[in-house]
Amino acid sequence: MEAYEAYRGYLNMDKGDFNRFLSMYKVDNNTFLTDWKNNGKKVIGYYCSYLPEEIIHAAGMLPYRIKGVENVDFIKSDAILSRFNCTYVRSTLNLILNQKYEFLDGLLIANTCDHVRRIYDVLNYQKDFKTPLFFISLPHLFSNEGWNWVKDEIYLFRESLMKSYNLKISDDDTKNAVILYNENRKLMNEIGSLRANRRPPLTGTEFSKICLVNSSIRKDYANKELKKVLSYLKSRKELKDNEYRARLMVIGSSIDNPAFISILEHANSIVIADAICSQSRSFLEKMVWKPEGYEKSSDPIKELVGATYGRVLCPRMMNFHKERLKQIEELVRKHKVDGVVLQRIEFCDLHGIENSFLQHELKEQLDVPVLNIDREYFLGDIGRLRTRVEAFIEKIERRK
Amino acid sequence: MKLRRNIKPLVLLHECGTTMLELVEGAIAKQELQVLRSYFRGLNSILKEDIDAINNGAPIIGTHFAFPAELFYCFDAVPICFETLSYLSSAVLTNGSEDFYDAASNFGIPYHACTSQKGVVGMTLKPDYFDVDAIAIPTAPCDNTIGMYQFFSEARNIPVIAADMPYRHNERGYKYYAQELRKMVDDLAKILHQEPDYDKLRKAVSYSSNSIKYQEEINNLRAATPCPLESMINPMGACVQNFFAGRPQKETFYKEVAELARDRVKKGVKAPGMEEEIRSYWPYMSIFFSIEFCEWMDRELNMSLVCDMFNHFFFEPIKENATVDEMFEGLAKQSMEYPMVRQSESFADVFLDDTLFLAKKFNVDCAVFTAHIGCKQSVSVIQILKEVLKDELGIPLLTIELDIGDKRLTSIETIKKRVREFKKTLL
Ligand code: SF4
Ligand code: SF4
Repeated sequence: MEAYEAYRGYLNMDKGDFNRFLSMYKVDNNTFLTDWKNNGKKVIGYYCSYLPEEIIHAAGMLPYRIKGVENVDFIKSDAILSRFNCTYVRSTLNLILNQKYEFLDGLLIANTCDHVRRIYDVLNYQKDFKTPLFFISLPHLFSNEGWNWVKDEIYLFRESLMKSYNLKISDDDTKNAVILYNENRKLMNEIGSLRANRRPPLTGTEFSKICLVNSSIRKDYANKELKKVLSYLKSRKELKDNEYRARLMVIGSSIDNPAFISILEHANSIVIADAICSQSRSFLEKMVWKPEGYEKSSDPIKELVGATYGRVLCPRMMNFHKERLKQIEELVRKHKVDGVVLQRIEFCDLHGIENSFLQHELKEQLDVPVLNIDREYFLGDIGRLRTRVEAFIEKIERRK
Repeated sequence: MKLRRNIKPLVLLHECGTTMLELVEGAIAKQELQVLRSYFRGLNSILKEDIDAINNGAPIIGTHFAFPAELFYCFDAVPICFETLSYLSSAVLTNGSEDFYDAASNFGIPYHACTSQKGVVGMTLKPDYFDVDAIAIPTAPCDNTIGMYQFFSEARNIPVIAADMPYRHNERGYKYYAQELRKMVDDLAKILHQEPDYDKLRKAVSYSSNSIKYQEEINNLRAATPCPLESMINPMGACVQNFFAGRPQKETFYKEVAELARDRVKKGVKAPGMEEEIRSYWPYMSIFFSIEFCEWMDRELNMSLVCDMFNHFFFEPIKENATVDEMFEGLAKQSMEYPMVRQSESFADVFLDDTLFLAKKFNVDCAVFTAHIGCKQSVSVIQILKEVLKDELGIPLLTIELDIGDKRLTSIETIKKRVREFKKTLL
């Protein structure tokens, strides 16, 4: 890490630096990760936006969001899982079983969806998988009781982390991590907001890479880099002289493959907003739910409950569809969205079912054209996808 | 509140059930199909009582198989379990639930979502066909429950109250869930404009508690070789567990079945027509869309389905003199330990341990896993289950990919062929 920082210094970012930063979304190009491991430091993988990364950070470790984009087959995972599991989960399990995640010192999983929670179980039963597993139990409702439940779960997780690695995580460490993460969300939001510009200074593909990198490096380092990214993008020449044919918003299953976004952008369209967990949903600043009588607290764990449970809007939460719709509506208006792409990975029930009613609501309540796509996590059938996107862009143009 | 009064599926099921029982009683020898007769006697009388109560103005509460339906009897209301309704229709109606599944798909519900809720989703999409006044459910045990019940609140505007079931099934979890049930009853009271009557709840609880004693006896008797009960008890038991909960019919059904099993074991006789060459345990569910499949297993294949996941109970009855708090705690604990909930809405260790325990208890030769396309959490553990069964008990496991409630994904002929071939490898 030191070597990388020394090389990069505190210079302003230029195009080359920006592209180098973006390229870190691939494990092999993640120089931060390589340096981190070379310095003997620990990495804890995690699967979902609800998890309290701050605790891992406060433990002096790197929280690393699990992605499966570099997976090429399903040989190992399909010997364990079923073909009715989503290909994101099958891809990540395959990478884990192929030792592509051997840099992990631990793995944190929650009952986010039925596919992900079972990764905990299947790994638990692999005789030669020795990486410690941690689990957080999350409610499916927003409620005062749910809030307290999550608070206890975070305490339990902090304890088990300390016990497993024989370390101490103080309240001050936790507090500092909370501050750092809040700053990170702010920076990511500022970058995300640039997409609302009439002529955005970054493409959706670039934005997705920034999100991927941000979830693969320590936030102290990320924040420094994001400040440079922000000033670079603010001063960047507009990407295009002409308007884009369509400004798209993407909603649904997690997208870890920037190539998918670039397909949506191939027909001179641009993705300028999203409601996706691996992107904006993981850093939108505002708490969407607070318990009755909520007051800001000096207890950093309570703050963390707000930053995870109270903030992320995902279809796994049963009593908040209207809020999700409201959030989408706000983004559609603020970012002047011309069309929404609803997408879900095959066999994803949570997003598949939610998309089925979003499809009606977006058309009827917001009068915005919708393209509803089933897809695989890996990129297959690209030709067909491109054709559908082109037809959708034409449909949008005809409305203008 | 303005009550909704479209209950065609209940009327249709009652008509079909009555005809079926008349046919069996009129045309088939008395000692045959005794479990089926008990079942339809109970079901028909429940449906009749429900239809009458609804016609007399009782509100309808849609509910879920993983929920203690006893709770609703502290109100004057009719609870209808959606999962049971979908699958009862798939078993009993001439065209199954296929029209309803198609209506749900046309709306946009994915083809791989669970048919257990998709059936009722489709029913509510058909004009003037089926409505409920409120829905009360748990947030467990699966993504389909989470997703599909949001359909009812968002796309059908039905008030949905959910009790959050925690993933950790320990004292902390039970306590949390008991509180959730309490809140739910308070919310329902507001929606229904009724005060909960806890004496009525106590009565409902006592019917279920009495039936637990018979259920336990049945499960012990089923361990006998040959198995004293016909395999069809399994899909029927899955329905009885919730649809009959809190009603005297539940106690009567299990009492009659226990007497039957006791008598057969005592006399050393088998279920009529059954030649038990192979005994099987089904760690997941049996098949719901075909009412004759279990009979085919017993009579033609000579392979008994001794028990499935839905038909063994790992919970205690609630004591008779329980306080209101104790009743809530007991119901919370029971429903977190319901068949399928216990194995599905928690870590897989329970699923594996229960499977081993039951395969051993029932002394089976093999296991069959119905890999239901809707149920992602269960299909995820089949392989580890297979290994554990082989390593610990030397028992093979057959996996069949299908839809439990829709014959179009895998036909009953294909399923029979797979089971028949599997059996050949065991002899
Ligand atoms: S895409 Fe859907 S099924 Fe797959 S991990 Fe995400 S939420 Fe779960
Ligand atoms: S079968 Fe599985 S997916 Fe369907 S309701 Fe039951 S737990 Fe949920």
